[in-house]
Amino acid sequence: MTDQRNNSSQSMKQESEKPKEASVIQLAMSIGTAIIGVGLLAFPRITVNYVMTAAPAATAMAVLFVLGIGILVAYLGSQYPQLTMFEYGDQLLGKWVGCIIHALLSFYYLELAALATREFGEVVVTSVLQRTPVEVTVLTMLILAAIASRNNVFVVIRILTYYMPWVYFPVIVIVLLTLKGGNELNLQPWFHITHPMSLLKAVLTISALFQNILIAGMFIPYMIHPERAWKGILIGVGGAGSLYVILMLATLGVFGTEEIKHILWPTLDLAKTASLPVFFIERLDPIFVAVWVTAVFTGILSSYYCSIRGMAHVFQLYDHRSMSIFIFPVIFVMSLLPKNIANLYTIVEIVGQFGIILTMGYPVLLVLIHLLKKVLKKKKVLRHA
Amino acid sequence: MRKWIRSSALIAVLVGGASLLTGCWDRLEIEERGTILGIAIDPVNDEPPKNITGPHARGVGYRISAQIAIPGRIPLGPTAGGGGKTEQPVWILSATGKTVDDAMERLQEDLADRIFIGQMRIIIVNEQIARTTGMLALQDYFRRNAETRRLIWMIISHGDAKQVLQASPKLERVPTLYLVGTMEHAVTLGKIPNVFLGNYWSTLSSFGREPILPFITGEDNRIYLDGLALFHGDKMVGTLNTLQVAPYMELTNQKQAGYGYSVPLPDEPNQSATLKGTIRHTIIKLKMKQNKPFFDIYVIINGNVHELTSSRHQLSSTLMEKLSIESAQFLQDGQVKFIKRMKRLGIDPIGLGEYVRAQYPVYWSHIETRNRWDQVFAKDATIRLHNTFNVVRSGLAPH
Amino acid sequence: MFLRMKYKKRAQQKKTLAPQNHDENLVNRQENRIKNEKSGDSQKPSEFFLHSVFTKELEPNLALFENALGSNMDLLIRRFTIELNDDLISCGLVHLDGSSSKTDINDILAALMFTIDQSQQRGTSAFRVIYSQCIPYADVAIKNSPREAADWIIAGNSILFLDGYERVIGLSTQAFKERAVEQSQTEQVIQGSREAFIESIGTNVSLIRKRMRSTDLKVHKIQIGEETATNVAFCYLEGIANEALVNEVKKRLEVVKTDSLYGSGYLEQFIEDSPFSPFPQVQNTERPDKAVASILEGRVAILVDGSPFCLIVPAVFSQFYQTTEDYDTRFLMASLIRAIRLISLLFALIFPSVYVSLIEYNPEMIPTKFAVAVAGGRAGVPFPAIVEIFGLEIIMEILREATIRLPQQIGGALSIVGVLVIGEAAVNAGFVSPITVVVVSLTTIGSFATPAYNAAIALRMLRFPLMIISGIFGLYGVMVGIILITNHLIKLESFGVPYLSPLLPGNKFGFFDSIIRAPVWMMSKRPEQLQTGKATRIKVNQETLKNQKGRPLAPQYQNISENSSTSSTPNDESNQP
Repeated sequence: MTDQRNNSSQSMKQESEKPKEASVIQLAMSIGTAIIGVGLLAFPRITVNYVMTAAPAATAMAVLFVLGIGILVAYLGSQYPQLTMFEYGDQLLGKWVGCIIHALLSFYYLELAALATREFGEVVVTSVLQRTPVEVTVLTMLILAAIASRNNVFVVIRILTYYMPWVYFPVIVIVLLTLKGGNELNLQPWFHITHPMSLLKAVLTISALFQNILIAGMFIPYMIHPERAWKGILIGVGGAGSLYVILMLATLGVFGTEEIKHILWPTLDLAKTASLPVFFIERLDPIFVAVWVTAVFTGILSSYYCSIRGMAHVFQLYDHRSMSIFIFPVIFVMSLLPKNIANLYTIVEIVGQFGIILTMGYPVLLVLIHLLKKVLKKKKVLRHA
Repeated sequence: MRKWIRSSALIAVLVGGASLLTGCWDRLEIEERGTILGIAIDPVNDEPPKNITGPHARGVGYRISAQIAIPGRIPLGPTAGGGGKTEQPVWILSATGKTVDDAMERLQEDLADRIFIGQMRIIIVNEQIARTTGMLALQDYFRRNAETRRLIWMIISHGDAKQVLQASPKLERVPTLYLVGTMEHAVTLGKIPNVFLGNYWSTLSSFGREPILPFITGEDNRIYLDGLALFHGDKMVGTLNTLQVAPYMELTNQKQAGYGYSVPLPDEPNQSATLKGTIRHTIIKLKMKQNKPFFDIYVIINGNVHELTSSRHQLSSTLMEKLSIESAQFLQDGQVKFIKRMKRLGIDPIGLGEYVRAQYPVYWSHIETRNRWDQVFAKDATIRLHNTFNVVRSGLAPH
Repeated sequence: MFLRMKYKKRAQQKKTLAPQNHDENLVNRQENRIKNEKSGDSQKPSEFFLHSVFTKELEPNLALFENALGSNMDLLIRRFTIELNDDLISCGLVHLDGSSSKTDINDILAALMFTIDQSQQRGTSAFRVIYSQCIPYADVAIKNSPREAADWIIAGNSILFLDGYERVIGLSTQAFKERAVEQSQTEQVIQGSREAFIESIGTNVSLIRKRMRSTDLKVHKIQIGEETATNVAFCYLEGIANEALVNEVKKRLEVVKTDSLYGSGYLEQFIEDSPFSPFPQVQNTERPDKAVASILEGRVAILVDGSPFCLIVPAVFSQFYQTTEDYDTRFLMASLIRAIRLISLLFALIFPSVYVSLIEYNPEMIPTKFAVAVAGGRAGVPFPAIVEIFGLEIIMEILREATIRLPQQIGGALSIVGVLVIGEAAVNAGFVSPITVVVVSLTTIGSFATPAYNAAIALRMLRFPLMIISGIFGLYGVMVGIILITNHLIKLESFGVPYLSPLLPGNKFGFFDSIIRAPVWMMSKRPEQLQTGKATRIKVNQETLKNQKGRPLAPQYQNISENSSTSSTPNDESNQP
């Protein structure tokens, strides 16, 4: 039955015959990289503000939640192995509804990219380049992402895959270096929730860090085995999720809840606490800021790419490359909208918590409609029989 | 169309790149920075401090003395230049201000190069400030500045802090580095716990533990490590001398043991044995009895015999056992005295409150603040000590 | 006659001035390659030969060539007569002096003039007899048109004209001067083979053949260059090299239309994928063993006549730090050496910019003691660190370039003078700080550790923009620069093979031969990214390899006086668990 639908869709779209090159491991690595972005630096503080020492538990819950969503995306991908998320979204929702939702999604990813860029711009300006205008750091990051997003999908996958070790390795190094400064007392009580609402908010906020997972919907049709995409998504989200949990544990263990609340970017301060006594370099945090440029870059690239692919789809453009230039000034202006750093983080939290309904709700909606259609069709077939 | 987009994008990138080239906003040569190596903060005693950040600056006033490295005075490489031996490689500048930032601004006025505190290794605070105005207002400036390292030392000085900064021992060309070396070696020798600035900040933020800082005296060209300064919140309330630091170290599970002590030899009251701990391990167990915290603290120390004043005693396993029991008793006495003093002062530098917060969150929700925990600690907390000392090696062969 | 030639000449000139011929296709080009590469003047006999035919008379035929090529000082025409079956036949031998082998020609003349009348040769015609029986020479061919014959002559061969026939006999007496096979200059190794390619394509092909006696090795010839008519050969292993790859190579070579082909680097620029990339997407090597290894992996090697460098496609990034010697060395050492090369590669690229960012942007990262000392060293230097190191790096590049151009004896002296005297003097004069000199020298040394010359240039040059961006943004800028470079590398493809493969997209066997160099018996497959036929290279099982190793000389203490067969049995048993 799905084959039939695929055939019909193939005749409908001229671009549906997609070259297949990506492997499961590539998908896993690229998703694992795409998910990790600049949120890495501030999320321990935001989470601890909501749930205190239950932050690692909340992080783990968020990871489980996102894993579920990821499975849904993989399921959809296996049902429509020739189509990207936007294409089967159009099929399931109809042209008009699909168009509106996709426009919303694209715009949302635009905002995500803008906020991430601004956030990292602030990090750089605060910690390394104090007198450089934030516009300049934002601009350089955006140029990086815009140039990279002009590549075709395989190159984007390759880029994301390549930076995987660059993103994961420094985090693990920091955690290992600061391990002896940690105190397990700081982690206890493991799960003491006073306000269930704040737990929900914390879980939502952390899930918002994983929103780039929808990029999997763009990658799956280009895989050699789209039906095995679930493995890749599980590994990717699991890897990124465990990184977040580890980092949460490390920052909480080293600083304790009260200190984390004071620190703007606890992960960065964790790097400040790390030292290599025998090594030539005394302070590691500038290095980590530098290496994390890769993590931030891949995160922004993923959002940027999702956004321009969505827009190209909405505007029925065959090529997404031209979009990347049109969007560039928009995203630049949007990233400069937050007035100050407090304002920025308020926006980040609000956008994250509400956007999660859009990004995580979208695959749920698609799966529901897909199943409904399937049941209806089965009934029709039965009636005919 | 495509070509047009392409070329316009290229031009935009080129123009953007060219505009980037015009500004190297943060470029500052290393020799053009006023590299501060250490800072001493003293109260302003005589004249009222002037402020330059405007009339609204409030604060008790600080005199900040900064030790600034003079480029060129410290030659490269291991061999010192022949001529300028007597010249000081550092320069000490002082300025007063109502707040720390105020004083730093004044300092900047005196100094042509831009002040750079990324290489600052030490902050020395006068005991008087720590006791009266407290540390909160003082450390905020450093905490906000991203240049500050987290792995530096904050030290309370007995008497004038500037004097400590000025003390220039002969071992090291740069005085601050000597001071840092002193502190670091004290940590590796097990004399003081490793309380670097970041660690101090974490403790200061937490509610169930009182911070401590190293306590130091400087005289002419010598520096003495006197022990630890005790705090209640951000205010200093007392000191621990070197002997009293040992119980603190034992109770807070500092692995590296470094204190030697003497116990009288069994059967020979006029002779003594000196022992020194090597490794220790502390386990703190918490129970609640009748809604009151009840701590069992197990301290296990391995140590060696360093000296016997009497040659009558041949070292044997029975003697070692006796010494172990006696040492344990000695250590326990010290700890009991320590805890009694802490209860009298109403502070908990061991961090027992953290155990309550971690293990009995419901009970802790009634306490929540540092002051209330200190009260509970002083009144309701019961602490039982269990010391075990193992004499492991004796240096000479037992007969 | 002279007038006619002049007229021809003018017509030809008109044609060359006209815009590019649009119907210029393969056939046309092959016709054009008759043009004489040796003739210094502008005389173009191609038209002339195109429309002329051989006659039965000897003299008009010879006159044809005399008129067309006679102005060349090296054209020799030898007229002689031979006697065959009591008939006298006038003959002419035309060849280019110097380009053809005199001894060969003398031998042929001797055979024709002395030996024929002693033997009783029979045949249908005199031409047939001479062609098949009288010329004791391996490589002969019959040429039917003056065009073919002229082509043959210009390549350094000779043509034998016989009176009374409209055909001529071509004798392959070509003997261009070539140097002997010598040691490789640009890619030196310690343990590997020493031979290097030379400028002659024939010798180069034979160097490859020598190492690979496989009937599957195919060497295809294409001529490129309308004027130079340079022979280009591409070699591959049939059944192993991907067919699509071979076709693509062929297609790209055939598309090249140029008047001349100077060397392999010239050809490389026509066939590479991204001409604007600083990274070479075609590997070039001077070493036959490297070419053979690449062919065996399923790549295609392209040889260009007149150039001692062989092009290998597709190329990947790992060529930057691999040598054939790696496979000749034991794997542990080879892996370590590779790691060192990688480090030095990275060193050459980023070390100056990291230094600049540490000094100007993040001095807090340097240990305090050292920071104070560095500040002291820089105290009197009038320039910012970025200017200082940029200038020194440029001076270093000048020195390097100058050393290459200079004769070898002076070159060594100059490099010592340059490094020691200039460095020392600059430090003493307070121009530069001693640490900058250290950094620059380390960078230069690092860039020398890269085995491939053209690849090393890419990284050497890229460090300059990296220095500039580090001067603007410090470490952040270095990272941005590295990301830009890396993204470019990821995007780059050579004949469809991703440049960073086999690392990306990853495969297991690829990893074995990229960062590390696994034991040769573990690298049992050809590189996956080349999509070769017969992927398996090593057929012996690792287990059997391990198990078959006996211990024939193990010390045998028991039964040493008895016969050895009994004492060796325990060994055999222990070897077969």
